[in-house]
Amino acid sequence: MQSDIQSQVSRLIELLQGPFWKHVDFWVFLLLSLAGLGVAIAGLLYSIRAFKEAHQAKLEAQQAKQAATEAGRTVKAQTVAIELGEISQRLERLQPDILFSEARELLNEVSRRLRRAISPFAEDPALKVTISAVRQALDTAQSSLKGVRPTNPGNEREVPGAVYNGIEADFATIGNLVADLLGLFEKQTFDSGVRNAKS
Amino acid sequence: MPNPELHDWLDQVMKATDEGTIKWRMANPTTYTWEIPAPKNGRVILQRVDRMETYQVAPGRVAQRKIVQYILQVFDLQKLQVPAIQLSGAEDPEANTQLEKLFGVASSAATRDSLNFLKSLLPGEPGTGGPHTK
Repeated sequence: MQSDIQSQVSRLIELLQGPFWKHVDFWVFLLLSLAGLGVAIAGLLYSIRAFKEAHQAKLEAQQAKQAATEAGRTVKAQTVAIELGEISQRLERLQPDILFSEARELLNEVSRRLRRAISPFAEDPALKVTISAVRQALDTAQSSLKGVRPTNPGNEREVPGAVYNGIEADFATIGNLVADLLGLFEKQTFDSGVRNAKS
Repeated sequence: MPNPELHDWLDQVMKATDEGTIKWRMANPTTYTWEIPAPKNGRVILQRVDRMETYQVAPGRVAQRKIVQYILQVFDLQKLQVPAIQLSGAEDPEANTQLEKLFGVASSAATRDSLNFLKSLLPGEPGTGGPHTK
């Protein structure tokens, strides 16, 4: 019994005194550790790469969104420019022999179409002042029209030109402001095209 | 500057309107007409035109002011459509001042006639059938 213990202690001493790299256990643990380190490094590299790709994808998505917004804005500006051109032509329909009911119909149509076209741009810094002036001119024209409402509609033709004289200056002002707006919208479309060409 | 004869004519019209021998009728809130019956067959139209003028108050700053102008048209009803005489205050500031006075006189006369009619509706006034009507 004692000799067994002694022989085992001797064996243990012999094992401890020998170099550790001669043990299989050491090499197994070393290999496992290296494999783990390799997996960790690979994982880190893949994570960095995934992050970079996600960042790139985010940038591209933002650029695509900006391009889509810009394209939408350009299309909207073109649509408004076409609408303003048509309104400008309608304003020229004011004739010296126009009757009150015709003038009211014309002004209502112009006012409705114009306000609808320009209201989305009311806060745009480049258009704000002109849009405000257009709205004021429309209100003034409505006020002038009230001033020529015939007392007796049956006798309206006895005062030829009264309606025309009453609102002609207001229509001219609206026409000038519409022309200004048309120019500003055309400039916006042009600037947007230049930006798209650069990017 | 208006023609001196036209100037005198406008003065006479103002005087006659004030005296009540010329009756102006309101065609719309800014227009009065005076009908001259046969055999002369004429029509005089006086209109007030308000317009907004944009002017520059400082570099880059604009403001609006109201401009009031008057137009006088005289029609020979036998040759309708084209006015025999047209006087525009926009082209002649002096005429505009005179037309402004005429518009004021015509407006006052029309208001006076309306008030006289209103007064005539009261009981006791002639022509109303009230208790004091004879």
